[in-house]
Amino acid sequence: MSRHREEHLELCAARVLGVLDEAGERELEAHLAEGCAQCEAELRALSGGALVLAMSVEQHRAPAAVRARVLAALESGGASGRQAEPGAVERPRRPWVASPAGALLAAAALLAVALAGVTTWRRTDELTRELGAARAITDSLQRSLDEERRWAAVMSAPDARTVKLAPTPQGAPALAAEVHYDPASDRALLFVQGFVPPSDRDYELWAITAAGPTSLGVVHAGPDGRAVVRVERLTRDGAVAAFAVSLEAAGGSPDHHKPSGPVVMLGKLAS
Amino acid sequence: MNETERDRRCWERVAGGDPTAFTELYDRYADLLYSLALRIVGSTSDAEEVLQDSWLQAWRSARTYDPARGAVGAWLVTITRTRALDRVRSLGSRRRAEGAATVEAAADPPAPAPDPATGYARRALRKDVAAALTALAPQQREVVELAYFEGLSQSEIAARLNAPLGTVKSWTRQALLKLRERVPVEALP
Repeated sequence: MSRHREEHLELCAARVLGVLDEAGERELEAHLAEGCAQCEAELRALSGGALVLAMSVEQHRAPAAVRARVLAALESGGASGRQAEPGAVERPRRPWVASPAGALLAAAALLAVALAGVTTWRRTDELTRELGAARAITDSLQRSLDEERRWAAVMSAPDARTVKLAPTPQGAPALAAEVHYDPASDRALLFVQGFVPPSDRDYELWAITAAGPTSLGVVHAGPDGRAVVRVERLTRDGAVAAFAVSLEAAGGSPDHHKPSGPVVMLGKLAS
Repeated sequence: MNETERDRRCWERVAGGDPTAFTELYDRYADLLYSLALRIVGSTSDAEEVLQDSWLQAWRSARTYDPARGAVGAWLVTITRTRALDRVRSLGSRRRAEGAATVEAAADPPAPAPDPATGYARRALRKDVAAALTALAPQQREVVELAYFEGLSQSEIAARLNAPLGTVKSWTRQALLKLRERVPVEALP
């Protein structure tokens, strides 16, 4: 048996987070297969830690529309076939075998029929479920497409307005950002480049109205510093006069209506 | 009966074809799963897709779920996290607008409220969870969050934080164990 080593515990942690590489996975699997109570207990404890992480996120209400779609998909496809009795086979009315060999043959035949029944039932059940799921996926793709079209329309809307944000003296010269705003749908798209914040810092986007600034959220760009941010109901706090970007501690400003770090970009909406 | 046992019995009814049991579980976990998906994918429309796909996947694999391998809640969380990370990868870019997401989410009609008993328990739990996160050293918190929510490998995390790989590995483990110690076992899904 492969002796338990301290490194096995670290492999357990990586596995729980789903970041264990292939070699590590093979090593841990081989070790666990031989039975290691310490690693098993460790995996349980670490999984609990991962769950705590999952529960640490800011809580939102799941949209009722998703609930309706999921339950509808189940009703249309999955639930119906599952109530049937599996593999119900009618018994022959009278025995038609006289010899022990015949009895064995008959038993085998019956078993085959019963198995075929079970298999057919399972297959039908699976297919019905697959069909329900496929329908739900088609619906969901259609919705995604419609949603993407709506966002694309922001760019081509006749009244769409574009605001270029410029770095302030506190901002890095490489920062670039542009907002496209469609007053008709009250949606805005923000395109950014060069958004690579120093470590432990985040860039946060702000809409400035007569009432003051309102956070539109932290901008998480990819490793290349680019991102596209979608903003719904932009003018919920009143007409937007300008957009700004501030450099905040990781996670953004604690005050939703006041940047706590320096404003690094600014762009006024021409009236 | 604790929550894990209640969920397990509920899932047995789901596997037996009882739609009301599925609805019961959905209402218990949808907010948590949606919030997790939203944290990972960053947009409400993507999070909705992830939530829907995750439940359909759970339904399809109802019969293969093995209670010995973990609680129902943990299983649902794993499915959702995996699908959310897959979605981020398939989108190719990590676009996030948490503020906009909040507003968009709030605009949807509210789902049925959880029953008051679990509501209270959840609030107490949330306090414990927040305290557990705050108690972590900043680097430890960062490594587990980068791995869990961004799906970064330990080498990627080491490169990003400019820290030795061995250190990242030990921070990861210590952080998870500390989180686990500070939240009551029976309260976890």
